[in-house]
Amino acid sequence: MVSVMPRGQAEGSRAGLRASGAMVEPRLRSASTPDGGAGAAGDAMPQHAAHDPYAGRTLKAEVKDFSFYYGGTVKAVKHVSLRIPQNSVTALIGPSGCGKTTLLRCFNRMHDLYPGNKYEGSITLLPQGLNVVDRKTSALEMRMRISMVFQKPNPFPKSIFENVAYGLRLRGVRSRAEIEARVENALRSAALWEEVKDRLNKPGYALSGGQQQRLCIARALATDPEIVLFDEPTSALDPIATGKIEELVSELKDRVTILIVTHNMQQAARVSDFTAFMYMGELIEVDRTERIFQNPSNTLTEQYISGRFG
Amino acid sequence: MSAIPGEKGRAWTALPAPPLERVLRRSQFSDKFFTMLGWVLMSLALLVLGLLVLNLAKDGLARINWQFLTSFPSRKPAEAGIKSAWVGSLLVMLVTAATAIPVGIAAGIYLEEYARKNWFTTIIEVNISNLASVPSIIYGLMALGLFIYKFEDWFGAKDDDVTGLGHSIITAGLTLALLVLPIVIVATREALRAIPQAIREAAYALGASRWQVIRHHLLPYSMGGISTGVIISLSRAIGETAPLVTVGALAYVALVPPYPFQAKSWNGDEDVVLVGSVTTPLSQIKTQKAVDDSPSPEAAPALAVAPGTLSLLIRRETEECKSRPVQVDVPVQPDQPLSTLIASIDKVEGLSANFDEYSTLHIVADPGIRWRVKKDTSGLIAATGLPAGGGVFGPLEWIHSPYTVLPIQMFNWVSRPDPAFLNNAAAAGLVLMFATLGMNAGAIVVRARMRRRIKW
Repeated sequence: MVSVMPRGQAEGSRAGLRASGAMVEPRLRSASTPDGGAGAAGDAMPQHAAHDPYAGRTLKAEVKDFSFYYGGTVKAVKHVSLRIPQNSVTALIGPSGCGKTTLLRCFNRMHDLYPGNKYEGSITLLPQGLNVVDRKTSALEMRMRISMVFQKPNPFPKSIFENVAYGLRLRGVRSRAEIEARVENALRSAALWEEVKDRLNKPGYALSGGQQQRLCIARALATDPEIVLFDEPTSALDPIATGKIEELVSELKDRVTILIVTHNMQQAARVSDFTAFMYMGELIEVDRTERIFQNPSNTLTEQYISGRFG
Repeated sequence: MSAIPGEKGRAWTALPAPPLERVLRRSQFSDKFFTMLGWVLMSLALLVLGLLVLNLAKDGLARINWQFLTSFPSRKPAEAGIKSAWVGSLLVMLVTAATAIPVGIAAGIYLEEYARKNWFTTIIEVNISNLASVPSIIYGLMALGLFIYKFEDWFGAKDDDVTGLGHSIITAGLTLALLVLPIVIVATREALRAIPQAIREAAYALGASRWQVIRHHLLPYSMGGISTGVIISLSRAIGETAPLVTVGALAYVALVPPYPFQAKSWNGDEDVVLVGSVTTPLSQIKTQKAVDDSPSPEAAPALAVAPGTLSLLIRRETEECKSRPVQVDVPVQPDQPLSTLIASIDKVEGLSANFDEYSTLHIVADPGIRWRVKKDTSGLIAATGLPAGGGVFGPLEWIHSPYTVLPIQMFNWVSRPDPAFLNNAAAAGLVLMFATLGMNAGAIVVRARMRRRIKW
């Protein structure tokens, strides 16, 4: 894919990235002042630039100069700085291998499962100001607070009920009534309750692909997470199931903050409020979704959006 | 490959290939040919197996009855049975399962889920696979050197046949456990590897710790594969003879090991040829462990018993033969050293012959007490009192008993001149095969059931 793009343009994109980095610099600094009240920082920020995509938004997470290495050597994510506003959908788009899924999996420390991986920089969970990728931060805690829906539906080979209840059991919820109420609630939030309420004891894999994915969404929602990560949640589904999931994602943002990786640009346009375009491990451009798709400021973004590469 | 119309001006030409019909006919023929070949070879294998089973059944089926299953071996073929053999096989398998299953599964989990992949674990992995193909006699020799000789050196007091593992069920069980351990480990690893990474990630993503993922997901989902491996490995172990010959399985055992808590009295149980007290209950007998190893009468355990006459049924045993139980009336004094009691028993006519240092005298006078008596070279007798079902292994005293197993019993019979013993051997073979096939059938059922329940 690199060959498709003239060298000069690639250089240009780097320059653009540097420029945008410079643009956000002052605000990052103000957010990191000791008593700056990180949660309120987004609201109180003075409008330095002419265009601030996050105006009036409370931030839920902030990625700052973040890099990630696979096996200690391969730098898959390079110096990314990105802000995730609360109760919104942020989409990560970009060609295959651009590092968007890798970045997503840093949010719940999934890379810890494999040896030799290394994080650099910070992903700060607001308003507490907790660095997700800090060694001292418990990965288990992060995964309980930031849940994930995977590319392919991966229900446990257990009953529908037990699939959704598992997160609650891990959290130490003992009361049967409480678990039942929350399972029902999660299944309703995932728009699956009506379809499965009579067969909660049937195995999860007996559902159709789309239903399985909604079951996984219910499983991710059951413990009231703060952020839900979606890793190309519809790539294995047919258009009807995809439509349902997309509808669900749009509805869910009232409750949680959503970060979604997608290959499908129409999907990003349909469901997200903010879109970040990544290329070769770097964040090229991030803005309100309408702007990214109608009036991107970076030529590389524009080329990708218009389908010229990727 | 072929020319594309219009590409670089090359004209469309026919494929330079044989006619389609012929190609299809050839591929259909090879399909049919291999189906047939498969059938023929499978039938051949089944035929050979079937003939073997038939042959065994022809010789042995008539011998299989209740008497055969509940009798000890005997010099008369018609009275001989496999009680001690199947009890021995069962108990040895119990020890094997109790050690090989937890250790094997734990090792498999460690290697698959915890161990970092480096040169050290690679060496271990390769060696485990290699161990699975080491001849079983090697395991037997190693067990002889380790469990019997080395353990005796390390833990056993000299001249004390209670410590050390000796030629006992536990030695045999541990030997077979070593033999099947690689199979269990490999089966566990394969079963764990069959679980998609997506399932692990799903569990981790909900905040499960590594152990929770293993406990709640990996173990339950891999149980089918693991138990299949375990059952198949045990069905291999049950037919093993070579390692057991080296660690001292006996060809002739005419007793079953003590029951764990001796809940059942030996008395009145005719199948148990061990000896019982006739008149005097010995429950008030207390034992004192010898203070040192010297076989002097003072050091031997004393009997605390009311003065009077003790009526005992005793039977002498050597590794070669056993005597019929004989009633002995022995006068006893309070606090009489046990050795003098034994000495007076030894004088009973017809018993002292062939009583040598290798003899073991069992006086099971009461459910409470069992004596193990040994003559040492100086002619004195050292006696050790073992509370029945007690001993150094407590309720597990049975693991320290001498034993035989089905295949060894078969060998013993096959080697006898009387052809009637061949029928016994065939019958024992049928029982062994029934056990093995039963276990394998169990493995198939377990696997099928787990397959139905677990899908990804």
